[in-house]
Amino acid sequence: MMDWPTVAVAIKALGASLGAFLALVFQPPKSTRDLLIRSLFAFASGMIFGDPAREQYLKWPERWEYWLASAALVALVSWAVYGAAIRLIGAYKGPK
Amino acid sequence: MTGVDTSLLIGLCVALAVSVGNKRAWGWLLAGAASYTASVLYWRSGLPYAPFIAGMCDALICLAIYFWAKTRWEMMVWRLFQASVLVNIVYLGGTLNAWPSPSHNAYSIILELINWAALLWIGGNGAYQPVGASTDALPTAGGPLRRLHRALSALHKPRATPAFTKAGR
Repeated sequence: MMDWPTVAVAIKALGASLGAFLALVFQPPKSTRDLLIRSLFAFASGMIFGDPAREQYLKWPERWEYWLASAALVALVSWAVYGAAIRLIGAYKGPK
Repeated sequence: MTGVDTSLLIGLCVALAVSVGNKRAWGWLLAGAASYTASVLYWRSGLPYAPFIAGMCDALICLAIYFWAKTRWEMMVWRLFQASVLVNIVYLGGTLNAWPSPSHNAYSIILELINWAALLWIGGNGAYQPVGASTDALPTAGGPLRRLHRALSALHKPRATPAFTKAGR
């Protein structure tokens, strides 16, 4: 029988994996390298930022459905959000 | 089976009939039908988070199209399934109270419209492929039928594809 923290991590990992998978549906990869990098990046983002996003910004309750959903949502949008942030920073700095 | 299922089944049979001989059209039609059947069976069994299952079925077809589609018209089917995934995600979020829930009727109607659009698009292109192979019957070189033919035949050209998919092989 798994203990509760392990189950919680497994749920978040499942959510992050689903989000990474769905991100590929909306923005398909251009190469195998792209596929691997983006999948890993989205998964890591979901695992790391899923909980903080749920608690601080989304204000979703403390239930397993919301752990899964927040990890999936963060993984789904992570690549686009970081991409937008990098472009904004680039635009702010101006051309070299 | 409800009236909606029956009408979709009739539409599927018609689309299959008009695209006989076009294996790619048949493949995507049957894949869409399998996705619809799986989603509806799950939904009617009363199990939770049905929009999630529906979205994942459509997402699988989306990726299958992305990896195996060869022509431009198939990529429009990909867009339709993308839209279907998005609708399911939005509705799922609504049922989880993550954001204001859209009505179930609106959700169903949008998905039905997408299903019918996919049937018409795949059936139409499946039918066009053999018919459009011959231009003998088309009148006058600059006429509207010729222009329509040119526009439609562009849809049947190879799509731009990443090197690692199977579409280019």
